[in-house]
Amino acid sequence: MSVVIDIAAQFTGKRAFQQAENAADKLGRTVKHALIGVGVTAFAQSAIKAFAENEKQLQLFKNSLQSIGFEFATNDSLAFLNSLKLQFGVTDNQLIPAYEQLLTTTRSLAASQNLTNIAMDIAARQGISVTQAADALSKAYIGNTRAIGSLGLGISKATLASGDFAAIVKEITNITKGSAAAAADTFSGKLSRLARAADTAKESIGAGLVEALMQITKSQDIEQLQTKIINFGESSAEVLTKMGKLISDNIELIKVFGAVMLAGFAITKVAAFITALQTIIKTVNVLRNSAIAAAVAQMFMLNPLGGALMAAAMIATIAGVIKSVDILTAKAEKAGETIRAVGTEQLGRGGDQGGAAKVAEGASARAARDAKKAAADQLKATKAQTKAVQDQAKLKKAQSLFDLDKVQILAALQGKLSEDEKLRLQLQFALLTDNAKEADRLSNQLAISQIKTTDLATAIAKLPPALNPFASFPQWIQDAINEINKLKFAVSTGPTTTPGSPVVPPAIISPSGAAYTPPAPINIPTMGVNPQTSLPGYRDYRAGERASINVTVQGNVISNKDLADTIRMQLLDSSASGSFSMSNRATRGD
Amino acid sequence: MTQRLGKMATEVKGLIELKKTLKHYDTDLSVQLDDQMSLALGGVVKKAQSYVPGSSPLSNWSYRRRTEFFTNAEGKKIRKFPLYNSARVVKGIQYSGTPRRANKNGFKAVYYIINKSADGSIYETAGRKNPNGQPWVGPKGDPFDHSVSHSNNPNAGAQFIQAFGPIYQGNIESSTKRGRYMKGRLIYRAWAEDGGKANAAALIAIYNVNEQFKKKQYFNKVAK
Repeated sequence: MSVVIDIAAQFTGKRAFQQAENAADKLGRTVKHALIGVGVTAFAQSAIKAFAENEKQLQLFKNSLQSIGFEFATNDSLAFLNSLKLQFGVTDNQLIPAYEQLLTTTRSLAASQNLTNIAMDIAARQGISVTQAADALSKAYIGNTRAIGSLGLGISKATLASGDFAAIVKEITNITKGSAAAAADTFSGKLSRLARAADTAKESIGAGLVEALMQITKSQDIEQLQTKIINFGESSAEVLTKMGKLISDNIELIKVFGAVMLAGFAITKVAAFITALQTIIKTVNVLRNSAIAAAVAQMFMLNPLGGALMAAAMIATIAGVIKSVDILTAKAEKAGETIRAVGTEQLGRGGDQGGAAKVAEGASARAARDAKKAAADQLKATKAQTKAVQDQAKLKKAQSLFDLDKVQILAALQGKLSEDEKLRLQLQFALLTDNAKEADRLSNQLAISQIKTTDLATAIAKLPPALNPFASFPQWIQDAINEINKLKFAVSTGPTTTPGSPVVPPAIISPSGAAYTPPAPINIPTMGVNPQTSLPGYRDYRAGERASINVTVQGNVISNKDLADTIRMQLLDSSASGSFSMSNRATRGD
Repeated sequence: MTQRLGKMATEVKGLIELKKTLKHYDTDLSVQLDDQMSLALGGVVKKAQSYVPGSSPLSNWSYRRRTEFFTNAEGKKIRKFPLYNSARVVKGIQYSGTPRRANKNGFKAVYYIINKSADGSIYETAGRKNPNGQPWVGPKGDPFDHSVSHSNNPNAGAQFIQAFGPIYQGNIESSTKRGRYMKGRLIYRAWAEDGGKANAAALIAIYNVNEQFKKKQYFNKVAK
């Protein structure tokens, strides 16, 4: 089981409708066959067969009732079963055996009819045959409840175990009541009812046919009728051959006769010719029918049954002959019209002024008609051509919407482009849209633009080579080195200065040989300390006041804490080895 | 092209033929239709899947390994009442574009949202017809009669339904099904909360694809 929400569905035809249509078609075909005579034999055979089967079944039923002493109730039982059959659409094949079994078991007409109704309800509810249901009921009636239990009706085990048939029936009735009626009211049930009605009709027809055939052939029974039918089949083959030959011969005769008549009549006697031909054809038809009728009559004389069937079979042949005659008639009429037209023209040429005028009028009218028709055709053709052109234009327009090349060009034109690129794109677009004029204009413009671009390139090519901005760098560096050397030289050869005296820079000859003019002397203030002797000694500093202390630590010192820990551990080691030290500022622990 | 019929989904005449034609002659449009239907209906499916409880509403209804069938005294194989498996329920909630069998009225659902699994269907619809559970007959009743409760507990049905929580009315304005046939806890609930947007999107997708196909055909015809 699944739960579904339908979004979109399509009607694909109803199965029941299709069944009904098929059934209707089948019925229609059967009736049609019966009516037109083509299927008369088949239908008659089928009807006779159905009748025979029904007759046999009824005979057996009668025998059964007779054997149990209910022969008197045969007609009532059959009426009851017929009513059930038509009411619920159940076949005799199921109903009669079921009823028979129930009656045999219960030996009560009322009980068997009641149980037949219940069996039909069970059958409809459980989808089994009435015979099966009746069988289960019969068994339950005699105390065997297993079969009725296995039907799955939901009868309680206690009831089944009790074996109380009345209680079982009561429970079954409660469960299945109205099932048969409900099933019969469905479309399928209605179809079944129709089918049963058709079967009954068929059987009746079969009975009628057999009766009729027996009366015609003066047969005492079916066996005698069968013998006569077989004899008829053998004799009719020969007669049919004769009939076919007769008809075929007559057709040739008619054709030859018609041709002779056509050739024999003068053109000026058209009306007489037509009348005569029609009369002849009618005469031939009458003769033909008479001939066929004679053949049929002959057949009747040979064998009444064969005559009846032959009459039906010959209808088709006659229809064929008539059709041929009709075709010939139509052709003859057409030939007559043509000849008539030729005749009137000939008459016109023969000097009949009135006739000539009429012919002339006719010709002019025809010419006018032809001209009108030609104009209409021309208009139609023009319209069709215009429509085709319009369609092409529409198509082209629609296609342009999806033309990727054009779309890309248009998109590119929207962006920032140089004049040359723009021209190229516009030219490409013009070529794609088959715009020759625009393409020509743009190609000229593009050529000019390209020439301009070429000139520019030439000018650029002629430009002198660019100067190296770093060409003078080595010289500048060399100059800087020279200056440094001068300073170095000055420092190394400078006079000893005494505090308070002006420092006179010496005359310096630069390495390059250029004269160097020293600047004016500078007075250096004295600080009261001899710079050579006033430098502090290593021991003048206390621990922690020196500029840098190198501490080698084994392991990693990443943070201040690591350093502090390391120092602390070193101090502890020193303390342990007798070099005690302590610093406790807060408590002045020294 | 579309027509609404009583108690049916929207009828789209020629939808099956359109799908077949697209499949054979215009696969791009066919894929486009599938994508659009996925967009239209996928949301409802996801939402419905989100309403599936992670564990069984009743502790003894949880899925466990067992045989799924038993044989009765008459030798008939009978399926046991399905157990709740959350993953299976989620997996069973889908949308589809494969036409189903025609129903009794001759309509064939082409696009639909389906809750496939038996346990999912039970969770979806329990209490829809009988809010207090099916009539109780007990274990001695006909085992094939699924319209009655066979439990030892006469209140089993009511308790079972009560544990599932409320059932939602899945009608939307365009729904032609009414009453209990549109009630549910998963897909019908999601469908109602969607408010018909998925339905409209699906139909519009079909319409658009059909129009595009017709235009293409026209252009092809004119081009020839």
